[in-house]
Amino acid sequence: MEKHFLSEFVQGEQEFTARPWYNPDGDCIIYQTADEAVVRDRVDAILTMYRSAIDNRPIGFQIKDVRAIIEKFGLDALIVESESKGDSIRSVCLTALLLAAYDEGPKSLERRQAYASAICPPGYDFTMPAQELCEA
Amino acid sequence: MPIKLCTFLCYNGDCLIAIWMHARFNYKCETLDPDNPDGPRICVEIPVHLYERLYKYAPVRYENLRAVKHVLKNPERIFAGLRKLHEGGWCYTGVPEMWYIKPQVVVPFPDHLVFAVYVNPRKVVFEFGAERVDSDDPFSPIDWDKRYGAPIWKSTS
Repeated sequence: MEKHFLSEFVQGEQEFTARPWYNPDGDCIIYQTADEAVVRDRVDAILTMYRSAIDNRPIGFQIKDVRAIIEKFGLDALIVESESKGDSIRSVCLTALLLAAYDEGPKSLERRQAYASAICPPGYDFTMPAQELCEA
Repeated sequence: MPIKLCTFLCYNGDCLIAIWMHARFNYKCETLDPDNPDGPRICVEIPVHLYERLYKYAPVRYENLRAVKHVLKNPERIFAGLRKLHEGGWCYTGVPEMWYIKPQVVVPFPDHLVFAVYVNPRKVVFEFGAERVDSDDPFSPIDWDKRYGAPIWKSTS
């Protein structure tokens, strides 16, 4: 490939980092868990899943209209508090944000599965054997 | 093309001091004016905070900004009405020849995908990526008719 058109204007080390960030130009939160090409898979007006262009597994998501969600539910409903080095840190809980967004649309199986994929990203084991529940 | 370095001159009462700094700016890409596609081309911006973040933390996405530039320069479709809760904004779609799928790996862009670039009402790129194509049109994202307000421009080639 030819030289990147922005190569003269960026500098420093590159290291993929899976961390959500808010893009004010799109009023959206973007979270990507793998440094791979993304195929966008729109779930509804709020959530778009990112799927790997290599093997189609979920590798992140985009939450749109973030300010509208916050205005409707209130920031306090989406905040979690933690402590670091004695300081109180207030963070927006993406799980709460996703659940609030899920409430906005029809309760279909397809949406529920997509939101579940966003809430439990790959590599984070938030599952248990179904058989345990069936036997109970 | 903007310059890479900028110079500030200041006089401290004793001597003239020149300070050279790395310039930070939004990159301007030429594209069709969505309000007047048959008129003169306009500039859409790739914001500095976006490309710097992608460069540092998402290298493959940074490489695929090449596809963003290609699509803006050679759009096949432009759609309006992106969001339910935000007025304005456009989706430009097109097909780059190649793209990065992981670090250092460049492959031909596949036929079953189209590359979409999302631009806000201030003409700033805020999102981009491949999407599955609609069964009726190889240059439109799947379900475009349910997602966008209206197609406002189609290439004739």
